[in-house]
Amino acid sequence: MADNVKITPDSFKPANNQDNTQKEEIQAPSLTFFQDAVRRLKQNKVAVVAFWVLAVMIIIALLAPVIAPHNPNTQNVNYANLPPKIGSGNIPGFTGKGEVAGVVSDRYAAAGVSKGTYYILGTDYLGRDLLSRIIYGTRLSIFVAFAATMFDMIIGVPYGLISAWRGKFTDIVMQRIIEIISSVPNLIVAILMLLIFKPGLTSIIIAIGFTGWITMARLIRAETYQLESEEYILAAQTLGESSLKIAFKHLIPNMSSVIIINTMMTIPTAIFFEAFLSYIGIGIPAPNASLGTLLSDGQKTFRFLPYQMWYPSAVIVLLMLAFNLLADGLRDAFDPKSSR
Amino acid sequence: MTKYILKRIAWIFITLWIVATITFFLMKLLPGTPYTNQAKLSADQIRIMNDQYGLNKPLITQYWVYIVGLLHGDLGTSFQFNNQPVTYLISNRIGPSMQIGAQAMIIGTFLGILLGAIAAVKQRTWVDSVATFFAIVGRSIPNFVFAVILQFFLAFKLKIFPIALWDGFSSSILPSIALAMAPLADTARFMRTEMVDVLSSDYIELARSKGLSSWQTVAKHALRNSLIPVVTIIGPMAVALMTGSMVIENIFSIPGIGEQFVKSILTNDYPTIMGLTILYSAALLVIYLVVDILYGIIDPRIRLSTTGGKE
Repeated sequence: MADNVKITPDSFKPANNQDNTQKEEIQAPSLTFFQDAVRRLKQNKVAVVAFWVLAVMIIIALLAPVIAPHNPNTQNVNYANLPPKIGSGNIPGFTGKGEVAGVVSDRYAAAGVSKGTYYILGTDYLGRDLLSRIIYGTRLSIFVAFAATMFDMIIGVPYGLISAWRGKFTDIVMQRIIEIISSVPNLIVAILMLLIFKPGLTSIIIAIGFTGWITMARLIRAETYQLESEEYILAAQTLGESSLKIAFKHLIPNMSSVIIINTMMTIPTAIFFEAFLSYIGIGIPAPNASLGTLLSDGQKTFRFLPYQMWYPSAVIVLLMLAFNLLADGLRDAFDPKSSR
Repeated sequence: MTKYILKRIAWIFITLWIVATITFFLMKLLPGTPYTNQAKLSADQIRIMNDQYGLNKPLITQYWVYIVGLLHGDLGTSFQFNNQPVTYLISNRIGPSMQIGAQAMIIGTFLGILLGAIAAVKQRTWVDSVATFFAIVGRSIPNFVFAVILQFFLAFKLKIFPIALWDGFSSSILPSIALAMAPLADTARFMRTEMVDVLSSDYIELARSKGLSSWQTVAKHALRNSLIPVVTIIGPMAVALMTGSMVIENIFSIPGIGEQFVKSILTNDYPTIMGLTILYSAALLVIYLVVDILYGIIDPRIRLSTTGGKE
């Protein structure tokens, strides 16, 4: 029984420990905070899809003058309210046929449109090409969103920083101002501002930017209070760095994820505000296309010509959805602790 | 506690005074006069009307008259709507707005809490994904688009509800649902986050180890504790309902204050715009105060500070 296992002195030799250094070696490349966030973002399939949808929409918006098949503001009353049609009208839903007084007929023939001409998403009540108007409207939405967000960053970040950094009396006064502004609903502040300025793109951007910075300022203030007590800030102060340099070199880089996430959250709100203001009739002035004006125009005739309402709706929902999903993905990527 | 509330109420009045002052001078800055739409008035007629509305007095006198009037609950006279006092105009129209707002709030919070709780209990399953996606879609559809979609399918195609009129409860259902969408999505999202946190806490573990069924654990312990922070989103929710009502009331032809506000903007009816702005901010400030007090009552761990220090 006992002799089965042969124990030789060799069994008691120390194991080969030569390779330990190799074991400890870090194989994966060390990632910076941003690389790590990008890696996490790439794992989130929904966010990646949202990213590409947005990329395509932004490219189309940028190249609008090249891509749009017609001039968005050219009116042609003879061609008013033509239904969608592609090519010779063989694709279901894009046949160019429409119902008038219960009879389905080829609206293109009735309007005397020449053979080769077609409008992919139809035309509106003034004969303007709907697809081109939607493309230009999207371009405007995206432009307003980014411009208003820049505005929000330019006011919001310094406001929060100064409020927290100066503290004491400055902080109290600045916080009271924020409280007063936020005691009036955002949209109403924007509307009041729009009433003062001339209607137009710039006024809308200013009005939306002016109301959007409050959240950013609050977040940055809270974040600054937290970072302020960090040792590296104390070290920088001890070394005699100016406040401005500390803000740019230490505070802002450390708050970059808060800034990015909040910016992404602001964009859909800005898009919504612009559409809302144009929808109720105080946004973008008449001939120019905005998703809001397209929606309000489409809504007037949606019982008879529903396509004039559906396409702009679909585009704005897609745009907002993509921004919201990407924002969610970015938050999960930059701030993995907060799982949604 | 009493001192805190009194202090907050005083601050509400100061804020309202500042808001009133700013809107007053903004309105005076505006280009154009209330008579712009009626070009045919002679200079004499305009002078008489200015006399009547007190528009020819010095600015500071006008301001004084307005503020004194405000303290007496007088918001001035509407320029556009048959010379009615603004207070009369508002009091006639606030009913429908309040009804729709309240219904939307009930639908929104109730379904939102339900959706968020289900998503949290079933976290990381397909139920969770569906609920989360639903919440994001709810946030992404602008309320005026959603309203028109509801109108198209439920009222125009299926004829279950009236398309656009204000006549009894059935006509208030569609607008309430349209308005409830945003609060619903926000509540669901917030509720899920809170509930996920609570479900991973020690006392839930304890409740489970005592042998409570998972249903009892959720209903008795998790739900209650995650509801506390949800109270804080009532403020932003009120904002969403106020601004949402402006388009929703227009779409469904509801004679409410939101519709009035949009109408006043489009017709440069300054006294009404000012009156409604002050009303909106007064309502919002009161809601903020009530939420803060409620929060202190529901969760005794939170002491309302009388100093109002840093958050």
